[in-house]
Amino acid sequence: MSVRSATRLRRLRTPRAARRHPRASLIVGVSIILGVLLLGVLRPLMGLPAPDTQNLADVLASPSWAHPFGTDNLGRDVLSRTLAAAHLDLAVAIALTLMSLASGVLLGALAGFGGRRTEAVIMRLADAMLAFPFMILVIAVVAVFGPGLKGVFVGVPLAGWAIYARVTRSEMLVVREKDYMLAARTLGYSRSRMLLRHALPNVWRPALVLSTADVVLNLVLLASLSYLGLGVQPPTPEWGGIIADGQQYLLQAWWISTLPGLVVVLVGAGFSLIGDGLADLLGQEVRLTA
Amino acid sequence: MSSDVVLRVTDLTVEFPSAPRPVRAADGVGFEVRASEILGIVGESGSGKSVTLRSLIGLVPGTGAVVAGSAVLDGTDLLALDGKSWAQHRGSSVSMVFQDAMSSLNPVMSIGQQLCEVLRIKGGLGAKDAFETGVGLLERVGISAARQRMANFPHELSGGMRQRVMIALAIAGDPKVLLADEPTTALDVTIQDQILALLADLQDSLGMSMILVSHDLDVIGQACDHVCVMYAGRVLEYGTAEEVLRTPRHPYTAALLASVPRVRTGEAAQRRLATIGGQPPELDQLPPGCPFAPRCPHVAPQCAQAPMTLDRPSPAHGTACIRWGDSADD
Amino acid sequence: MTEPLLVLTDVHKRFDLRAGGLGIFRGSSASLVALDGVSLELHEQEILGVVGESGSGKSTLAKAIVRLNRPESGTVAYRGRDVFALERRDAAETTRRIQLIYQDPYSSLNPRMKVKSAIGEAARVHRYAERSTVDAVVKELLSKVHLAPGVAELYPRELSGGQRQRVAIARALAARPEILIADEAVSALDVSVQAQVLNLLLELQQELKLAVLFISHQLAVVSQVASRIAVMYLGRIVETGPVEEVFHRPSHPYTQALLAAQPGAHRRGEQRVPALRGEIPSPMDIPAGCRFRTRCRFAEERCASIDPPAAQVAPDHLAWCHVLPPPAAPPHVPVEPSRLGDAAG
Repeated sequence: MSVRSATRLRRLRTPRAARRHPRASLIVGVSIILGVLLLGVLRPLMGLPAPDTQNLADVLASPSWAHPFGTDNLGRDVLSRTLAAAHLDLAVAIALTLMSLASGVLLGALAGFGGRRTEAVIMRLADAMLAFPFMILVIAVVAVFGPGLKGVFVGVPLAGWAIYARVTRSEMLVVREKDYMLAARTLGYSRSRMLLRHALPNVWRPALVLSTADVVLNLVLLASLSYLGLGVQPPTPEWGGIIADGQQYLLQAWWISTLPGLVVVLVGAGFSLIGDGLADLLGQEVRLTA
Repeated sequence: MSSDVVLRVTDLTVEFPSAPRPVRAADGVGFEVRASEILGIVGESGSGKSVTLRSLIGLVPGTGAVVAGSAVLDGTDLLALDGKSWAQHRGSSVSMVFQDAMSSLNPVMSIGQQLCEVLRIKGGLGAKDAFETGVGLLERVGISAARQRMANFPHELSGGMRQRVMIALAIAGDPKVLLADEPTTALDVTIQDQILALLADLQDSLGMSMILVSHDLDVIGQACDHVCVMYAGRVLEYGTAEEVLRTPRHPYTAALLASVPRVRTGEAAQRRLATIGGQPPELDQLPPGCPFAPRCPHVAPQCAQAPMTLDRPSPAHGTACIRWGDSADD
Repeated sequence: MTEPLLVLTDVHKRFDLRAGGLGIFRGSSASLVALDGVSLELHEQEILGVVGESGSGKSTLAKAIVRLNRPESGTVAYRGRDVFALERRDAAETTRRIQLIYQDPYSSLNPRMKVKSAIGEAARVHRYAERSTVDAVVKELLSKVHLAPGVAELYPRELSGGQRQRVAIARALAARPEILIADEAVSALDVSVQAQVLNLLLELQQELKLAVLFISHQLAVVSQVASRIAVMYLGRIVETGPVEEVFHRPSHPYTQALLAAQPGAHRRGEQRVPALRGEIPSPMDIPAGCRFRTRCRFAEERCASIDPPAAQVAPDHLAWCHVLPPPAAPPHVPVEPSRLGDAAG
């Protein structure tokens, strides 16, 4: 049977395809993230006061038309601050994830592909990293580097690569036995070509799906660090920092922590949907070529 | 040989959703299975032979659905059964043997457990009786040291033995018709030979009818009494194995037979095989009229007319090809 | 007679399994013997068929020849030189001359690479094309395997099984091999597609003067393309000779059983007993003496203790058996169906 009708039938026979629409998840997820980013970009045009403008005459004001998210203890517009933090938070979270992803995938691929010793060294290191509580490791590194983002950019990838390495190595163990890898060998290709050109493009997908969940975790991590006074320093607006600042006013002015918190939840959901959509999409593709 | 019809399938049609139109994996399929007889369905991938078989046991995959036709066994139309009724009929009216025994047997249950389960549910036997009957079944399908084998797990058996176990499971409920979907395709030739001999033996001794689906023309020719040739979801030819494989009446059957390699004992030079031009059909792009027309060496303008298929079984050697001289039916 | 291109001498290959590995095969040792002393020769422009069922070792044989696994003892010599004893430079040059076509068309092509990349890469790595000429080379190879030039832009998932197999062949040809090993290359294809690919292999063999080692479990397929045949059982070759000769006068009981077990060798309704009883012994516990004796209806006392030496049945026809039973009536060959053309309107 020609493969086109075969693939069509196979795709249709998969119950998931009939019931769920991966593209819908993906589209909604991406829309959420882009939406938040867009609002962040458009903030100056929204008629809100600047994020650091204090107005001591109007502290702890509840949400209104003038201040949709209310004001905080220094009279600053909370929505303005939230939106201003958007690009920072998103950019940093995504960057941290990509750094962990890239290093983890490469090391994992190497571990799965290389000899026993390479594998042993890399995987034991990964085991060690995973055994350590993630937060503590990051905090320790951040403490060394002092306040600011430098420490975060060193600490997170340092601890974060391990899970990607594990996942990628598993995938590599399967892929390296595939006929097309053996074919690359009999065709006389070098080991590096086999690894980079043939194996890698086939092993990074599960890691990618994992990373979408990781972005959310890194986002929360960033927020937690700000909460603890590490990482991003005031007055730079950052979601975690905003939420932390509002904590002591929770009973009188719930909006300071809660509304930005909801934005974080929304963004988290957005990444989750992207992850779901990707998993379905990539999973389907893999099934069709299997 | 008895000639009562045990199962009569008429106009069976199975559709899968697709855009712009649903795709018909089986289109107007019809045939008869007589008592103590083996019917063979032969075709390549995409011919619809597997889907047809599975619809007879209510296992049409995923989103597919039977949209037309009937399959009457003992007065009951199998295609009209709902989920609950199927549970009663499966194993007792019809039973199935699959191609890959390794994935069709539960890997975490022992052979004995799986056999006893069937015997207790279908036969209402108590635990002890079920065990003894199970041992008897294993012996019946040619497994030596059957009593000890009951404790084995599927992965501890060879491919041939697993297939025998599947057959034992399938006949445990004493079905009227055994459906076999490429039962020997994954086996070595010498083991296939043993399994085919076993099936013939069971058929003789139990008087069981069988439908055997295969892409291997030689297997069909050796094992079956009647043969259905399928292509693109349609039945193109139907008749006795002798008739269809010796004197085919459809260009597709003839072309298929000509492209099968044979063991040579005579000629010295390697003979090039006759091939069928073109590509296998896309089910969603079938031409009107005969589905084989685009590749047929004898195609003529009238071949593009109303769809041609054998939707009613006939006792004679029937062909869906309108260019076949004196075709008796349709 | 020219020097053979490829010579295998007494090749042994076993796989050591960890304790408690495969449950089915409980043997005295935890070691699976795949090749137990295999010797064969492949001459230039010859098509040698290797036939065997599971456990025969035929796939291990293919892999050993292209150095995907390493035998414990014995030699694999290409043009007189041991392929396992070569320097790196020579090794690369030698191994490109022997290419392998795999069984599963769905996994032998990298799903992330377009056809033109897969074929082009092979050509470029071996310097038969450069960046500027690679497109033309790819198109030429595609036409050699009768695929339209447009196929170059497609991914494997957009191709049918037969088309993928052709791409795999084109990719192998890009390395300009002298020997092609087809390891069950058509077993996963539909009958009509199989015929096309077999014809293609025959055509290419003639055109490019290749030597082909055609491995298959299907007797008829091997018979169709090969001029000589070697029958394998449990890691050894049990019979060799010209194809017609071996099939006309099979001298080893296993070969006889294989022929008799072919479906279609019997008519429906004939009283029959399976050609071969029992199961293949475990490769972890190979019977002493003649390894086939456990299933052989002609086994004698000496078969249990003495490994049968080669017996010359005819000038080029050898069989490793003590008894050499005469074949029964020539295997029934299904008659050719009448040609449709004569009868159609």
